[in-house]
Amino acid sequence: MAGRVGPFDVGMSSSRATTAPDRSHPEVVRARDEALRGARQMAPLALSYAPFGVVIGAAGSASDAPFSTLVAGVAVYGGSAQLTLTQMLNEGATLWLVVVSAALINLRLAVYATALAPLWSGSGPLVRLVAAMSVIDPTWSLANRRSASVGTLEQRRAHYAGAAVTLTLVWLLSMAAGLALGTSTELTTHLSIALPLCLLGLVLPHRHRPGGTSVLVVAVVAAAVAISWPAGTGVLLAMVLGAAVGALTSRRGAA
Amino acid sequence: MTAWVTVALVGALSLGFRLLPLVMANRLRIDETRQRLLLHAGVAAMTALTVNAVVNAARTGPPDGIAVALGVGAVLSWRGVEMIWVVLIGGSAYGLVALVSSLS
Repeated sequence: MAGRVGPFDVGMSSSRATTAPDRSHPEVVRARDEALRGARQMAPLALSYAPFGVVIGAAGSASDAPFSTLVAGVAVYGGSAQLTLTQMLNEGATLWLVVVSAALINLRLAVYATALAPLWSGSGPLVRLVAAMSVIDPTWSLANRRSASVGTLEQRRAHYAGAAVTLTLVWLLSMAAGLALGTSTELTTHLSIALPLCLLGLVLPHRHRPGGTSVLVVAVVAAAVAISWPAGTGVLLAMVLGAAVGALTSRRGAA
Repeated sequence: MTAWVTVALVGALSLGFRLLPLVMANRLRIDETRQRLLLHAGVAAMTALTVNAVVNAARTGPPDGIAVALGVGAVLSWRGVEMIWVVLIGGSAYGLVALVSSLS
């Protein structure tokens, strides 16, 4: 069951998370260095997401309250949900439909946060609050990657913090750029291609894990079937079916 | 006003989804089997978002450019190339096809 080490490897068991620091090991570094390492590793991911931030900013510039786009950048902190929210509001959808759709899309964050819970076990309420605000696809992926290598809980937290700060800064700056550009330029239309490319880069490495390919196929089929359903329901369906197929194939692999 | 209320509601719900598991972190027992399940569920959600993003992009951009960009992006991601290169090379392929389409 020991799959190859990759961006989606778990390895966040409590025993490993509480391993005492081995000062002789070159990978054991101080928290500040670890935060810088997290920032460095997040930088290419954050830059990949920047065009998507520009698209959201540009879409927000057409709304009645453009500044709410930047506030949503921090409060919602999920590009897909925010883009859906902005587009639906611009199209005149009712408030409750927009809220339910965006919330369904962000429901996956509960899964990410549950998976990351051991990382924040024993930390204070303020730390947990700040950490929770930054749980999103790239931070989750990077935390999974970090958990596959040696280190203490403190170092992993510092790594996460460095990564989250970097992503947030790039995300907000790119949205501000989109707000400034507005929808008048055709550039923002073409930048929409960045999101599927980013997501491809995040999901395809999952094929290396046991049952990973089956999960990807099932999720694509579920999303395609639900494409005309209300926004967010396809994500929910894919999540449920993906987990079920993943559990089934992993069990078969183990047997 | 509607935009602000929507942002506040979605923001509060999103924070709730994220915060609840972290608040219960000391009580949650997540063994490797459950971690794997969460991993599959999370990746499946991201995959569904990928499909939605492709459909969204196809509504506004040139379909041939999108197809080429996704093809290039998929091959690069499949081969384990870093995401920044997937976006840069896939985006360049898209730009090239869009440029050629607009000239012809």
